Amino acid sequence: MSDERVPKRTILLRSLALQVFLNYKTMQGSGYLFALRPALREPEHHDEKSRAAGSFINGHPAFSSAALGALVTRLRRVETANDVQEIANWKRELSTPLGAIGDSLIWERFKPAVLTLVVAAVLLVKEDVAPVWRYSALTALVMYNCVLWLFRGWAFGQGLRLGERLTELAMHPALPRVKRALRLGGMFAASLVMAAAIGKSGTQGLPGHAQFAAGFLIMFGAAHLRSSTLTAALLAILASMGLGYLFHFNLSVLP
Amino acid sequence: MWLAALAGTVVYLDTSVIGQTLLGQPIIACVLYGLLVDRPEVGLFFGVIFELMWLANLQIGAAKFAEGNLGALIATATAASIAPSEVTGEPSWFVLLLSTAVGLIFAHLGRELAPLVRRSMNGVAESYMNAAARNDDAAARGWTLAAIGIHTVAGFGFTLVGVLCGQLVMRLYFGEFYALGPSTSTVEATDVLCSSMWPALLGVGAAAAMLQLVTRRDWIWVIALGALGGVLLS
Repeated sequence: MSDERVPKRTILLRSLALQVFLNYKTMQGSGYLFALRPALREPEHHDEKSRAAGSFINGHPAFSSAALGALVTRLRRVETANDVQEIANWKRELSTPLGAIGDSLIWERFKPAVLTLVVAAVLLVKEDVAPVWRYSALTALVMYNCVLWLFRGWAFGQGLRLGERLTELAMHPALPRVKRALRLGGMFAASLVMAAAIGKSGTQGLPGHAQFAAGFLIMFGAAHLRSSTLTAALLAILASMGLGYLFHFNLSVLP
Repeated sequence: MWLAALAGTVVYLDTSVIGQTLLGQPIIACVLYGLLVDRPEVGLFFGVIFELMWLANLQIGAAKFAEGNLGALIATATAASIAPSEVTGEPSWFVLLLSTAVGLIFAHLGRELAPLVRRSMNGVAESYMNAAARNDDAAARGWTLAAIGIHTVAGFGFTLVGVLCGQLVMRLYFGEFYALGPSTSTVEATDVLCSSMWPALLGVGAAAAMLQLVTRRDWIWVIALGALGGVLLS
């Protein structure tokens, strides 16, 4: 199959449903096969190519576009059971970098930073939150999805070009710059939401600040002890009510 | 209840199955649901709280993850089914507290949902692969629909059970006419104490945002900047 005949847009659109078949045996394997089916129309060695495309792999959905491009290149040469096994092994090896880089950049930084900024925007407003929510939510939705869609297209092209040398993409010179930008963006978003949350808590005066601090410290302790968010939130509610009781019923009767 | 279950299905599909566009995130989905049922303030409350609290809840690999997004929607649907307080014209803090607890518990219970769906998907995925290998388009399409059907049932069923439990809790506490809202005496007796959960949960959320977005060496800067900004905004 020549590069011109690769139905890139169809594959990328179908790759949005990469996790539909997510399972414990092949993880995203069948999702890859689902995305790549438009590129597997030729009858020669169809069975082998399908099984190679559907073998085990797991990675970040957006970063998987690079693997999908590389697979299109590699599947052209699949003819025997040995080729299927070779691709299966290659996909297994690919899962770790594909997941590690994608998760660390998108799941751990980009997505939470975008959402934190929306929450911060909503918390910063004192009155008439509706328009702020509308614009910030819409901006976040458009920006997040456009960035990821453009990235998917670029990564697919890189995968198509690199084929089995796909791991070279991990050495891309832009990667450290992107990491630095996301680190700074994350710091900005976290600072902003903290300031906005403290500001909102401050409307209840000293008790509000004390309750904010209690919730903050309890979450820190819970993360340190590897407790669940459920535990942290319930403990925070209990602590805040205890503090509320102290401030409202005890301190109010002090001279 | 049915609308909530439908919204839950969309949230579930967007969170981990198709697209992952952010549409299922609490700060978007809860407010949209609130607008649909004409209670945007309830959606905004749970959107902010649950969004921040579950920022660090990453769906990585085969790991279990709490269904924070579904929990948020269940909490919103539960609280939105109760009329606002007649005293303040806003949702009673006690209702928000009970709904938060229900949402938190269901978010945590949701940890078992993904493993259950993935186990049931083992056979479906294999059948899809066999159909695709045979180049049997009709069978492949059928197995794709079956997979989407399993996810839909999971999202719909989980949300429905969550909302039913939420309404049961409200019914047990407030009685048969729970939807009319708590009585004036209940609101006056509980609002002062229950409203204290708002700053505490904001504290939990701010800590979650920092733990997720900031590396340990930068914590001090973020705390200093956040505190300074907070004092200026107070």
